[in-house]
Amino acid sequence: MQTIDVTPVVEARGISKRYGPTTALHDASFRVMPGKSHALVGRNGAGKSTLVSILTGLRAPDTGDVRFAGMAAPPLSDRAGWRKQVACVYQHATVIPGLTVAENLFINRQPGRAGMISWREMRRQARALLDRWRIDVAVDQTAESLSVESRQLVEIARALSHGVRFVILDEPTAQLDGIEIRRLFDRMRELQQEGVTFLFISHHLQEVYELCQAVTVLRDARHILTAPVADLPKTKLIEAMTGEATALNAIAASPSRRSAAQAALAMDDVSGLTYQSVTLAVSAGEIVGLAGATSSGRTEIAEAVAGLSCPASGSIRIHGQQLALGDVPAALALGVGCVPQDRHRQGLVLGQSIAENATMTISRGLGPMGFIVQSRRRVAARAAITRMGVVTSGPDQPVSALSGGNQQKVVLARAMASNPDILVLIDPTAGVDVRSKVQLLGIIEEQKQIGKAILLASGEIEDLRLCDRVLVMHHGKLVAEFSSGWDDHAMISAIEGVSSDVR
Amino acid sequence: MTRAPRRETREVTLILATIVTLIVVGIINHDFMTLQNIRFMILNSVVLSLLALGQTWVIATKGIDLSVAPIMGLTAVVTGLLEQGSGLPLVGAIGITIGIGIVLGTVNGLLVAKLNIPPIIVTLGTYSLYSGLMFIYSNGTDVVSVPPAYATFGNGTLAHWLPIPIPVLILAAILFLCWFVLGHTIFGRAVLAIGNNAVAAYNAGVSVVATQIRVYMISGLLAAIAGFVFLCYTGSATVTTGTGDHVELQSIAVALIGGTAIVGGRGNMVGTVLGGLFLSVVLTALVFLHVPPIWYSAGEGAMILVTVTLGMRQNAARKAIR
Repeated sequence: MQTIDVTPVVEARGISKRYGPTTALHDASFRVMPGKSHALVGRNGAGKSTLVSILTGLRAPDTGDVRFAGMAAPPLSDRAGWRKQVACVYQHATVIPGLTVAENLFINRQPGRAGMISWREMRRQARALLDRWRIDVAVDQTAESLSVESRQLVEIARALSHGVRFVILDEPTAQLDGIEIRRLFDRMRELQQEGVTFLFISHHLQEVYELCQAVTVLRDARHILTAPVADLPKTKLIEAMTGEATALNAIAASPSRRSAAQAALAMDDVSGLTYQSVTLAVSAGEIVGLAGATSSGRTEIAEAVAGLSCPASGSIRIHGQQLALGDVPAALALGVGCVPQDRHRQGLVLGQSIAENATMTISRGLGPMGFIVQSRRRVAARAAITRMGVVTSGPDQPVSALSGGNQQKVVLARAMASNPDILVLIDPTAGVDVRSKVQLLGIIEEQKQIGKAILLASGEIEDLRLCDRVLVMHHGKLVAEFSSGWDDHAMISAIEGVSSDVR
Repeated sequence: MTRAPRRETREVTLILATIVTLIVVGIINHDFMTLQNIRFMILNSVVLSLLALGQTWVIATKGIDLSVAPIMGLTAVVTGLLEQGSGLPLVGAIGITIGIGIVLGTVNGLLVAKLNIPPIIVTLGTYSLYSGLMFIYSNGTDVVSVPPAYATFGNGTLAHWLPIPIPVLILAAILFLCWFVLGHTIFGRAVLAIGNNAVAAYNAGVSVVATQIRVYMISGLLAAIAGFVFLCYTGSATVTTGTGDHVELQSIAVALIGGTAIVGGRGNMVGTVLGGLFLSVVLTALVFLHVPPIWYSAGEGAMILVTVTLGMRQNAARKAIR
């Protein structure tokens, strides 16, 4: 499959990595040949980011090793050594916003004598560097004024000037429009001609076929295959990403209980930074899924309903009442409960007990004049623990001591504590074990049965299978709608942006 | 060009505000614009500006240094008492000043950078520690006079053809150094990079630890020089020198008024010195406007809050335009 007599630019052998009870990568091996654009694909949680952090020397693998051009990788502490081998252009900027492009290119190695910077020389070298790679950016503008496109090119140029010829691009097209993507690809092909090798991570399989010569698929922390793109039809690629049927595939939407009456939640022509003109409605007794790649805007739309983010325009109505945009207390008051995306950062107060976390939204109801009657809180918390099936020693246990699945149950309990009519669930089963996942999905199903309107934004196919309808987002737009009983391949094709013929 | 973004409007605003204050208060009270008072305001602003220049270095890295007040006081008391006791020559006093500043500043820097303790906690702790050392060392004794050599250093001029007080010349030299090092050396740019995005700076190979230690060392050194200048031009020092006037607050305010961003990543040395002059003029004006003394502290606090808020608004507006 690969040219035999060429040393791979990078080779990972038998890499395993665990975080606590979670296996992030299991015995993964793969190699990237020089002068190629190599795609790395996989669904969320497949192990891509773990692999990138190991390939860039930010984390050490538990087992296995990484070799660059046949040589062992430098030790983790040798940042300068890694900087010469590999660079990664992330979705978030790694330039220093207040400094100019020239300074960012030469930070901490500015030309000059005795620590004194020669500005003219630095500008000249920066210009020469950018010209050499034909990057059309002014060296004197500050990094914060760069477009995403230019910022990525500057980061690539900075990497190349360190001598790197292997560059990882982490979803570089996510924040670019069509023309910019075209330009980026042209530029990547030119650099490839000059001997630069790319590892290209994308959620858009179309782009993989357009740009890359080889592709590696990860699934469930394992390396599934590495193959030349030309030999791999799309259906095979999607199959490799989706995998075999699992126990979770048994999950399916129950008969719809949606009432024909007025929609419980209605979004009308809502636009924000990452999504445009979204119109959707959720009725009582209905679960509506929002699917799409990580950067498709699905999360932000769900956050808008819960007041966690503020849309630029449009209207959101709850039972016909206008919702004040970007206002969490207003959303709570109108009966919107929310499970936010990142339970550690947005969902839980980790140092506090289960009781405190689970009753945070209803603490006003637990006693007079701002006092909290401890016994009442414990009763409420016990009820939640039982209902959710949280495995714990009791309501006073700090949530930080719980497993991910049990923590998520506490977040869900809190979202439901005020008995809201609308539930907004964002990646509600992300990073939890299979058992907890089945339990969480069971609870969500119960909520539908008792007539809640549920908006479920998720990247996990099992979550979506619970939905009565799934709306698919792509680059900030609703592009497809599936009724329950859809076909996995069609759904993933739509999510990954491969010519969606299903509508 | 490849310098920090242009901020000349800040400097112009400060100069205009200072001139307007001088004129308005001068019309209301004719004693305000006497040569003697102008001289006082300038010398007072030298002390403020020295402290604030150090503060600017620290704030540019997203840090803060509250201990400048006791470092200033400790230096004034130690050098003053040594002179009173054993006739310490001027050169020796200057050496001790530099030593105290570097040592105490480096202690701050080590605690912040090596032990990773938040700067506000570190310098709150050393604030108490250094003031305590001042009490222990002086045992309550005040410095009541300085010899002619010191007084000349604090008030005199270098030569009769150059009628500029020596402290002003010192400030000018230090300002030039600070401006040059911040704008034109790898160290200076590393300071701004850390304040902007410490992780990216670290990934780019900037030594965050060494840079942080150095900025606190600079801040300590400039605070000590401020203390010695204060001793020489006032001829006195007590255990409340520095801390009694809460110069730590004043120095932070001056840096912010001068256009340095409290969130780090931006430092304006020239603005800081103009801010020091402005605050000195405003504080003196409170006296000449016959504000009752019991109102000084409240008036000063309100003044600082208003000026800093206005200054930050100006920054925000500029950012929005860009």
